[in-house]
Parts: sequence; C-alpha cells; structure tokens
Amino acid sequence: MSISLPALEPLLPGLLLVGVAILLLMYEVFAGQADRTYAAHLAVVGLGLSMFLSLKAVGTPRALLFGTDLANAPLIVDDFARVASALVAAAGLVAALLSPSYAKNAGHDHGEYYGLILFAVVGMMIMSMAGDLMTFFLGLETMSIAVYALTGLRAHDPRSTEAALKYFLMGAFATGFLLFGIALVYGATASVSLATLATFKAGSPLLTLGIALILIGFAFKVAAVPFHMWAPDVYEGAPTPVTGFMAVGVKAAAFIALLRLVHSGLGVSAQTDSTWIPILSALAVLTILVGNVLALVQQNVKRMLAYSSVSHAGYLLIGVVAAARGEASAGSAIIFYLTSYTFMTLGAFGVLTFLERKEGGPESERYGAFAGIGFRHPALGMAMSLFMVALAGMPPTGGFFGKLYLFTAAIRAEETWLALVGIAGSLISVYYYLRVIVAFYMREVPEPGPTPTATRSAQLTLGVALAAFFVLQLGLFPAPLLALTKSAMLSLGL
Amino acid sequence: MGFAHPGPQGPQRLPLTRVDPHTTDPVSTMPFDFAQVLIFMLVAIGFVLVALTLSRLVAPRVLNADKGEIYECGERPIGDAWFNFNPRFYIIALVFVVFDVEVALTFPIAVVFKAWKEQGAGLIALAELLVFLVILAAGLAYVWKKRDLEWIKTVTGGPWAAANQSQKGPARRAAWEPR
Repeated sequence: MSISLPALEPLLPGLLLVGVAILLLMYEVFAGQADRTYAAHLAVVGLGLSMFLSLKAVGTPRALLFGTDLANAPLIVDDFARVASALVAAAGLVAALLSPSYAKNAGHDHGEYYGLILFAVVGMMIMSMAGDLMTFFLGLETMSIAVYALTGLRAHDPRSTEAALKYFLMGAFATGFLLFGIALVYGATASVSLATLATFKAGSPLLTLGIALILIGFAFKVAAVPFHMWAPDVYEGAPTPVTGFMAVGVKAAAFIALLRLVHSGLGVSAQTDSTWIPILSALAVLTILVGNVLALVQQNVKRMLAYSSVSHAGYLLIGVVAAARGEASAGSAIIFYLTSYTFMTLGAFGVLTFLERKEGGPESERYGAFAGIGFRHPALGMAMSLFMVALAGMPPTGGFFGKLYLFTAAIRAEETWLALVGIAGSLISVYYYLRVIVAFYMREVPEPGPTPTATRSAQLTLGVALAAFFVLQLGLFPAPLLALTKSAMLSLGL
Repeated sequence: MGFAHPGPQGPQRLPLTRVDPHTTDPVSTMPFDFAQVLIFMLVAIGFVLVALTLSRLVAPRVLNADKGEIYECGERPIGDAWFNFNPRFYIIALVFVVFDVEVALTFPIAVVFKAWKEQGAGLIALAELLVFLVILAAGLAYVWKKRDLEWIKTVTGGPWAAANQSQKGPARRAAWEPR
C-alpha cells in the first residue's frame, strides 16, 4: 500500500494547523510587526477552520492511515478522534482569543506564542487518533514540548521560569515512566498496537507492570493525586491564558487517549477482572478528596483553580472506572464533561486575564484583590459567577449535565460509592467556588479601588463571551453535544 | 507499525515470529529470557565491586592538590563550573539536532528508495521527503533570520532589552565572557 495524497485527507484539520503554525513562524521572522494581534487572528481562523473540518467529517466512515487494519494503523481517524480534535481545537481557539492583550501586557507578545499553541493542539489531535502506543507518545511529546515553552514565556518573572523548569523536569520524568511502560508492554506482547494489546489476557506480570507505568504517565499529565505536585506551582507561574489552555487542553487530550486505551487497548471484557479497577478507583477517590480539600485552603485564586482542576481530573477518573467496567455511556459522559469543563475553565481564566494588573504578582491574584469587582464590572462579575456555578456543577450550566452524566454512568456501572465520593467532593467544592463570588460581590471595595483593566481587549471579551455562551448552551440544550459524543463512542465499537 | 512503504515483497516485517496469544503464551517464558539479563547485571555489578575493593586494598594512595582538582579533559580548570552558561550553547546544539533528525530520517529512505521507485512510488516518496526537508529548512531559516546562528547577538526588543536599559549601564555580559 503506498500513500497517496487523497489518503491524507482525514488528517486535514491537523495538517492545516501545522501549515498555519509554520506560516506564523516564518511571517514572524521575515516580516514581523510589533503588534502580534494579526497572529492571534490567524491562529483563531486556523483553529476555527480546523474545528469545522473535524466536525464536518463526523459521521463518515473510519479512516485508517498508513496501515490496513486496526492492528497496524498508527493513526485512526474515527468519529471519536474527530470530536476530540474539534474539542482541543476549540480549547486552543478560546485560549488564543484570551492571549493578545495579556501577552502585550506581560511583555511576551511573540508571534511564536500562537505557533506553539497550534503545535500543541496538533499534538493533542495526534494523541486522540493514536492507534498504537508509539504514535500516542509522539503526540504527547509534540503537545508537551510546546506547552513547556508556553509555560516559561514570561521569562523575566521568576515564578514563570520556576513553573517552566518544574513542569519540564517533572514532565520528562513522567515521560520516562511512560516510555518504560510502553517498552515493557512491547516486551510482553511483541506489539505496541492497542488492538493487539486487547487480545492479551491479564495476569502477565510484565504486562501489568507496563500498563501500570503507562497509567502513571497519564496520571501525571492529568495531575491526578499523588502525581499532582507540579500543578499548583505551574498553574500559578504560567501566563494566565496558557494556564487555562493547559488545564483544559492537556487534560482533555490525556483523558481522550486514556479512554481509547481503556476501550481499544485494555479490552474492556478481557481485563475487567484485573487489577485496574481498584487502582483507578483509588486514584479517583484520592484525587477528588485531596484536590478539593487543598483547594479549600488556598488564598490565591489561580492556585485554587489549579487544585480545582486536580479534583475535576478525579471526577473524570470515575468515568474512566465506569468505562473500564464496560459501561457504554461512560465514554460519552467523559467527552461531555471535558467539553463543558473546557469552556468553564477557560472562561474563568479569561476573567482572571481580564483582571490581571500591570504590575502582576501573586498579590493581585488573592481573593481580596477581587473585592467589589462585581459592581465595578457588572458583565465580568456575571460571567465569573456563571463559570464558578458551572464548575461547582449547578444547573443551568454545562457543568451540571457533565456531572450528572458522569455520576449516572458510575451508578450504572455499579460503582455507586464512587459516585457518592464524587458528589461529596462537589459539595466541598461549592464552598471555594462561591468564595470567588463572595469576593466579587460581598466584600468592601478598598479605596482607592483597584484598576485591573490593563488587559481589556475585544478579543478577550469575545473569548470570555464565547466561553459563557457555550457553558449556558450546554446547560440548556445538552442534546446536540450528547449526540456527537454518542457517535464518537459508537465509532470505538460501543 | 504500519508506517512502512512496502518493500519488494509486501510490507517489511522484522524477522519476529508472532505467537498467537491464545494458543501459546509467550509471556510465561518471558521471565526466563530476562533471567539472562539479570545474571548479566549481577556479574556487571559484582565486577565493579570486586575491582573497586581490590584497588582499594592494593593500590598506593598519594594525595596532593592536583589530584583534588576537577578533571577537565587534561586542561587546568579556570575557576568554578557553577556559573550561568550562555544559552547560545543550547541553541547551537538544538540547531544541530535539526540536521541530526534530517540525516536520521533521510538515510533509511535513501536505502530503500530504489525499491520504491521500481514499484512506482518513487515520486510520491520524493515529494514526502521534500515536504519533510522543507519543514526542517523552515526551522533553520527561523533561527538564521532570528540571528541565533551568530555567536554575538545584540538583543533589540523584548523583556531582555528592557532589562538592559533599566540597568543604566553597559549591556549585561554572560558570566563566561572575559570582563
């Protein structure tokens, strides 16, 4: 089988992004302008187009690239991959909208910034399409290297540099675990293909160890306890729009890939009796409890959101447990949750970007710094309240339906106690999410009041408005997305 | 892995006999294969231990100042190694990686290109290779235009330039540069 150009068509959404990214890099060095807003616009157009192409192809048959069957194709473009690609492109799109004014304000207004976001999105797309572990690893690294660089962009801020170094070192360490796991799996099965992996029975110590190490790599990327240590420092130090992008994009891509591994690789039926379910359950419970409790005691809103994103990884892990139990609705619940989580988290970080002050620093991120914002900026206050309510999982927001589907799937999979832990975690989380609203509306405004409008811009407003729109839209009309996620899971053979 | 252009006789595979996982279990024989590795490791560790212990027992020990110095490939060390290295070293190393990757991926294609050409896949393979090279060349053009190939680069723009101005003095020098 030789490769012809038409055969590459399913990859068009990703290839388009690579093209735009290279164009951005070349334009930056050869005809660079001082104002990089054009780069943000180009990136947004590219990401939007890529998202559109992915969604347009949903419903068409599965395409196998560079291979003839599931066992030897490194890239599988099915509805699952298409929906996931659209999701990560949407995350990149909103993040790119949040960026231009922030980047100018923080002194890292480089055209490369948007190129890196595009490359990271391409990596995430490859992760969602990976039919074997090596391709998955390739996508993961493409994404990670771009995100490492994005984290350290505020090079003159020690917090940002610390974040980048910490993320890079810990990430490299986790990559080591992951690769060693892949090597052991290859040793046990003589194949890295997920489809071949599914034909093996559980019980071989080599295979068990290999998959355990791969799971550690995943747990690091989604910041599951006890592999979450890097998250708060990195989230705090990274530029705010990048933090939002990391919190949603990296997490979404890792969970999407984990879902494919669980469904196509671990072979739901063959491995149900294995050790995975207790381990995944323990990870989920730990992540929910530790994430929520630590978020409670944070004084810095960015750090609070970091721990909150840890606890959201815990809720999603409940879904993974249900999926591993063979519950068909768990996968679509995870994708739905990831989508609503993407918009509410990016929205929250968008509001924080809005409120970033020229001088910056950790002081401007404390709860107290947001006193009275709800009255000074009514629309912003409303938006932040919406995102906080959504993160807490209350109706009428996408966060509510996300949690509803996730916990329902867990109960259907006879993991009622896990659903109960998840609900308890959500209850704890209400306290710290509402605390932001309390700071916004119920705290005395210090005189002279803060003037945190240094980063106001049309793009930023559009980004926050888009996020708010989708959070509400998913809460009021969840059916279209649910249908999409169902066709995605159907393409995995469920 | 499917990312292989067909060889003369269909897809090329490693000479690896695949065992049907359901009939014979290759996994159960795996620990014995690894036992060889384990023995090898034990021998290696034992060898080092014996050699070190033996030399400690029989070798004469004469300590002097020269022996306490850091080994710098025979050169006399000039000062401490704990200072800020100029990031240019890493940039040059990264540019080198661009060419490294280029050779590492072009060379295998050169080996099988004739076979592909006979199969009629020559043009498409050449086009793919060219796309790959263009992407790498874009990387090179990027660093070149950014003037990162020049050893001494003056920074005009960005936070570093601002930092230089705020110092109100001569531009900062790298620690390794002679003062």
